[in-house]
Amino acid sequence: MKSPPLYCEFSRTSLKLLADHTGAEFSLDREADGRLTPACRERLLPGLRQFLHTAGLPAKSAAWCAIDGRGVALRCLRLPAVSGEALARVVRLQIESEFPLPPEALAWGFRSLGEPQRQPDGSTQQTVLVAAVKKEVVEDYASLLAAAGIAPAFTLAALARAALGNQPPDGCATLELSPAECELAVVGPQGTASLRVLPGLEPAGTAMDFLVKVIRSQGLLPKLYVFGDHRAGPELARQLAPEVACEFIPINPGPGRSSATLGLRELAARPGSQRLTLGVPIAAAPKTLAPPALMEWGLRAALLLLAVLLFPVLEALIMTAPLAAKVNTFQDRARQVETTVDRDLDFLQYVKQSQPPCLESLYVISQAAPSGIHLDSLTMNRRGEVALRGSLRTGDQVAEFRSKLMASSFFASVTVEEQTPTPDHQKVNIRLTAQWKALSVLQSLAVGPAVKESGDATNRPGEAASAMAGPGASAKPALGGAATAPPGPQTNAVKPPGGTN
Amino acid sequence: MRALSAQEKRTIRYASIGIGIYLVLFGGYAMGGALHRRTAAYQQLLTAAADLKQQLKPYDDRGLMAEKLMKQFQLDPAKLSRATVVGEASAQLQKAAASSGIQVGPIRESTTKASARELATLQFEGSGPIAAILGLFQRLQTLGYPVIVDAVQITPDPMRPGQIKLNLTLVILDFDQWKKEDKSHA
Repeated sequence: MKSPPLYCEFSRTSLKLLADHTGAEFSLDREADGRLTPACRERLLPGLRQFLHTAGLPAKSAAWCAIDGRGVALRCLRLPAVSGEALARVVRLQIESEFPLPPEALAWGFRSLGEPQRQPDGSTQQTVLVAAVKKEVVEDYASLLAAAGIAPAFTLAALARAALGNQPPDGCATLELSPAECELAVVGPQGTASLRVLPGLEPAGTAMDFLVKVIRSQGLLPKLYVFGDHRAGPELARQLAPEVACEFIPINPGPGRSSATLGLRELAARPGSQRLTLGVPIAAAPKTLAPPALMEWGLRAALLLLAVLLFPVLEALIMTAPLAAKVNTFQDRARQVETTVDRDLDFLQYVKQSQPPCLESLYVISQAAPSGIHLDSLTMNRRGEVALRGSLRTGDQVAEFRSKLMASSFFASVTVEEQTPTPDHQKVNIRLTAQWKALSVLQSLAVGPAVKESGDATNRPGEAASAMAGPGASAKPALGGAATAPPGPQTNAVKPPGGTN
Repeated sequence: MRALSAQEKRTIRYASIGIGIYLVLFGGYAMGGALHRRTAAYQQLLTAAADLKQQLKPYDDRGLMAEKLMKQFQLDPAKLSRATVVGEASAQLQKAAASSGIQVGPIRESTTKASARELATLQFEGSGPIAAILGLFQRLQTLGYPVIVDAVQITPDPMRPGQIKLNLTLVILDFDQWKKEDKSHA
């Protein structure tokens, strides 16, 4: 374990700081409830920062901090032999049941005392030393140190100074003597623990008697290590003898030097030493965004920004060659498609536009033909020339026939080249020529039988042809007979502009 | 070797910094220019791809239109063979006429000028009832061959009352002429 470079002790009246080669001591002013006053905090902050600077310590230096025993509950608990997180859960349950405050309101910690021992009933149990203090006490100190750039871990001063004595791990007894107050900590091998803050040794008479009485009440102590004011030491040892053996451990005076800070340093130097750390519940920990997280997020944001800026360049570097190949391929294919599609479409459109409207022409002629017409010949060609020979009953019918053909808008011109009455004046023989309008115009006319005529008039083109089929094929039978034939130009099922007769 | 004086060290340091700055600036400028050229070329490619897309966009419609006409005429120009199209069209015409109920008469075939877009001319004669004649007209467009009616003559059939006689002149188009046009355009 890496030892922290800084050791602190919060006593009632002072804060001691001890680094490797330097130390400092600050006086503390407290409120009535024991918290540091705001003025004291303001005074301490620059001093702490200056000390860190002087000691050459970096920001966020780790520190072990010892707190005095005021308000601290110290107990030994016998628990089932479990370890790790299971032990922490068991201790938490015990705190809930045995301590006056819930674990959430406490800063608490624990460490095992000795090895687990098998019980007569076959179970294995271990002794755990538990310390707890109101979390406000620890948070008060922690916030001060954090503001100064120190990351503290808290323990008890009484347990820290025990490291200076040669004591077994499962038991210790320490006494800190000072004129203001004394602190007696006893962790007995019998599974008992206590931490008491007693009046100071002034005036000596009454206080010494009370102190001796309290120490004797703790039962059989293996050895008592005494720190602090050694002037009362010989008298105390005389009064406690022979039941309790006292050993005085001198502390060389100096800035930041105390039994607690030196004990912390001894603990840090002793490999494998167990330390009881007072932890603040996570939910109560101050929620601040640590600088490393800010750095990390800043780095991510910078990387993201860099990626955004570099993306077009990277895209160009990576995608140019594949895109060029793809574009070339598509250009070849496009030329091929253009050639094929254009050629096929031109050809098909030529086929469509070159088809003469023969059926439509027959339809228009049949619509315009008066009753009794007899056709001898009907000729049409692709150039739109229509020639018709036949006979009508009267000259009026000839004029009417011609007028209707013109009114159909299908023909650009209609010429009756010859009309000759027969010698018996029963008929008029005619020879008629006509010219279709341009195919593009005819296509826009949409000549053909109307939808309502589809039942019978779809075959009207047959009327013109039936007129030439002779008496055996009159128009009516022709229509009836054509009912099974393919219909006329139904796709253009719109009346001609000239109307039907 | 003689130890450098502080002034010489400072001069060397400044010179090194200056050369370093020059190299960074020059290298950055050169690299920036290369990257800019590459990016510009990529943008040109993107523009070419967009133009190609625009160029091909009308061919969606033209392709659909060609497909519609192919369905309408039941004609696929790619399958037409110049060597066999006349014979196949003639056979198909006779088949359509017979199935329409027309009594097929003589059929005459003549070639046309090579320079024209027409491959051959068919003269068809037949007779039948009116409905059959109209049906044949209707089927001419769906023979599956590029056949265009050149001339029609309808007369009564004196031998069979109630029947009419049809004299039909058809032109068969030469698709290869369109291919040649494309090549000449290319």
